[in-house]
Amino acid sequence: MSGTYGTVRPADVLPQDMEIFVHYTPNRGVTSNVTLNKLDPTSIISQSVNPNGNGIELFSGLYTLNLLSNQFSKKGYYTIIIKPIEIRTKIADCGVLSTLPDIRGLILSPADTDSAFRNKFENGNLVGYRVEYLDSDGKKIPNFFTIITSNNKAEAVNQNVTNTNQKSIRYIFNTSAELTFCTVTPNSAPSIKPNALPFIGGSNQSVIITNTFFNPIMIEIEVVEHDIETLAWGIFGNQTKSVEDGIYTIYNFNNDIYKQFNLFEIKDQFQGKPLFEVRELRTGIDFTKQFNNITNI
Amino acid sequence: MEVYKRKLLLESLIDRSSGINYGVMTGNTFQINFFLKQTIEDMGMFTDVEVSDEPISYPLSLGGVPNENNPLIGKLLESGYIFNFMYDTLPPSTPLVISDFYSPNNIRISAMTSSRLTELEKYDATNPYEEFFLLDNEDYIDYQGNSIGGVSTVFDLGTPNYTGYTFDGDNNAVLGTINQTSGLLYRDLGGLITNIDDELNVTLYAPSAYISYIAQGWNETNTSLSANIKEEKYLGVVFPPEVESEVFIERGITSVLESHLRLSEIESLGHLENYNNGSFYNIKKQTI
Repeated sequence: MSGTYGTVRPADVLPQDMEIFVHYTPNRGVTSNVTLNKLDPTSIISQSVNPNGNGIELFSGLYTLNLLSNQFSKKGYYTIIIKPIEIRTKIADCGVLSTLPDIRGLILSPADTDSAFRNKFENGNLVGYRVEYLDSDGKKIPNFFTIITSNNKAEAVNQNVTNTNQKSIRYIFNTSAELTFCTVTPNSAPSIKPNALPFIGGSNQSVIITNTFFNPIMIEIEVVEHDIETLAWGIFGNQTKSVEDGIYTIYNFNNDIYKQFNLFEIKDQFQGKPLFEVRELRTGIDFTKQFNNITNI
Repeated sequence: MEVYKRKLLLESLIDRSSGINYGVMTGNTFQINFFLKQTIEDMGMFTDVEVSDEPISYPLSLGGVPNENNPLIGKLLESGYIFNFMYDTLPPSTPLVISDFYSPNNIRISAMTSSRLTELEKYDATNPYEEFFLLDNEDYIDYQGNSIGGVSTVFDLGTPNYTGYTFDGDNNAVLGTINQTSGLLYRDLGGLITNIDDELNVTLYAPSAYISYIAQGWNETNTSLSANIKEEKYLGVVFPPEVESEVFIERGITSVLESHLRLSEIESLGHLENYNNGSFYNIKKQTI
């Protein structure tokens, strides 16, 4: 027994919990700003069936990106970002629990969130999610986030503060409630400054909540017209040259016509002296030059 | 963040067969496989907090109007904050019912184990076992609230090395059969089951048996409805602190009463010499 364990696992996140962005540039020399377009992960990501399972169990970790050719038809560089989906909402309130006043948390409401994410606000569904904060101008506060460690449905109660006649809002858990109370980390006071609490957000502050179901990745795709395979057709593939009309044809390894050229000479108009030998790419293909037609003569 | 680099060949989607589609991109899709990983961390223990399933005291809104009697709504209105939930735009939440968590799967579990037949011995040296001799007879309520006339008895002595017996089975017509749903059903096999004792580093052999019972899953007797919250001081702490009551805390030389207090534990002169393996009291023989 080694007493150790691994902490990296193949993700089994669903496509609806992902977001995909793509950026295109025709070459690396372009200096314009990066603009991102959004793709729908549920339509372009598929998963494989685990051969060890019962035929419906999905293979963990392996995902397939199905890129439509009409969106990725240009030669150049496509940068694809796959990251956890963002849930945007507002903090309704910040408070403490009635029974444990040292437990601080954020109060969130599903009603102020996109309806697609409302099931995330059920008890325990937000555990492990990351909270990032926007300032009053709508800018994301850099390098600042907290992690949700629990969430439970809660309602507000007005409760006496200890040893005084002052009352303030505390929260109790109630399965019938609409709001959810999220504990986050970090939220404890540092030991050297026991009165200085870490900021975990304020009432009415906009936040971005993202899952941590997988580590984000970036895929850089270079779309090319030629690779080693097509060069090999030109070097090692079958070729024909029609002597009569000068049509030079290169075939791929299936003997389909890959490229076709006109070969001709340019001569001096007065003396008939050859000046140039030209190979010109044909735009219209002469299909009578199919390799099988020619070699079966 | 991991970065994958891939090269896609446009040619792979272009039709090269003779015809009107020659040179046209007729393929629909480029496919790229990628692998996603999740880096995980154990948050550790959670803390149970009482949860109420009573109707909420003050709804957030009444008839689509913010309910000012709700302390939060009152506070938000006072602060000038407006949220959608103040107008009750959500369908009413469905309270969870504790029985939602129950999953008695009622599957019969059978497994090999060691025999417990000796627990049903009578005080009779020559004939220790007797069919339907009720060694234990106790009525109890099972996990579903059913009344069980529980008995512990041998029900089959007829077959050598195939003795059947039960513990806490309901004393009815199906006792000792595969239809017995309460208690534990045993059949001795006469073979031996091995049990490796790590401390003694020996292999022990015990008479083997089959045990059979109905699994009860999660039910009212082993679950409770509570909200789980995370106390940050327990972040990453994966089990509760254990109390070692036998640990003696040495208070040091400043505790002048230590030696005297410990004398109360001494029962004899020999005990005094051997106390704490002879390392606590320094006994010096007086020589005359």
